[in-house]
Amino acid sequence: MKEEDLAPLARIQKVDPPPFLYTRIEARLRAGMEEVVPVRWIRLALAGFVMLMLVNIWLVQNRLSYSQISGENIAVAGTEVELYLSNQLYNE
Amino acid sequence: MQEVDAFKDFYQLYAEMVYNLCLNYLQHPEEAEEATQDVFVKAHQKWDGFREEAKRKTWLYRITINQCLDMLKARRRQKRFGIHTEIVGINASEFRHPGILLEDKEALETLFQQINALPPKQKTAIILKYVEGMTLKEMGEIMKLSPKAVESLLSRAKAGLKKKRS
Repeated sequence: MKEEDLAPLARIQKVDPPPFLYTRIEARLRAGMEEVVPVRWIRLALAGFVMLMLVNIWLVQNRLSYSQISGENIAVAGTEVELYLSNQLYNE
Repeated sequence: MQEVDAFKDFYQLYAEMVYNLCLNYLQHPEEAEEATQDVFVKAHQKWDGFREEAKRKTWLYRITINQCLDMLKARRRQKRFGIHTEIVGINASEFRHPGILLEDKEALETLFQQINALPPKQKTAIILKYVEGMTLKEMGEIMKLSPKAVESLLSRAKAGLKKKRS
């Protein structure tokens, strides 16, 4: 494409923006500010979330160690009363 | 209060630039007005970053270009899913550019149809160079490209337009 084919683009004139555009922008900014959640609330929600996560981690870890201990106890009790703990029920 | 005045001054300084750039991208006054509003709302949200006077214009150009490209993407999506904005009295695909002289209207409508079919970066290069009259260096700053890269983008855009013409 030649430069002269694009020449009409340079003849486009500047237009003034609509007269009440700034008023509309101001109104939108005001409405936006009213909707903004206070930083204190965001911090509180974050702290709550972190606490919840910590409690969850603590619970999962404790439960794991409990199940490991109880698994060991069952094995000891099983050998004492000569119980087979495997799924292989018959000596083949 | 001081901040409100500063933002109003900022608006008065750049409103014409933003609105006209939006018009050149969207070729529709109502959409250009909406895009201009969005641009200044975004600029207000990032107002602290706008303190550096020297970079303000470049930054505002970037926000405007991204906003217009997003709106064009949304317009294409609406077209694809058959949602017509005519319901609310606005036909977004209609070509209306108040800055175009009557004698150029037909030629420019065809030219803009071809420009609109180009990939976004090529379209931006053509608008910044031929409508905004920028240098390769200025374009490079806005598009975050080297002048050489802008030059090759422009030649690809022109080749694309030539192909669309033939």
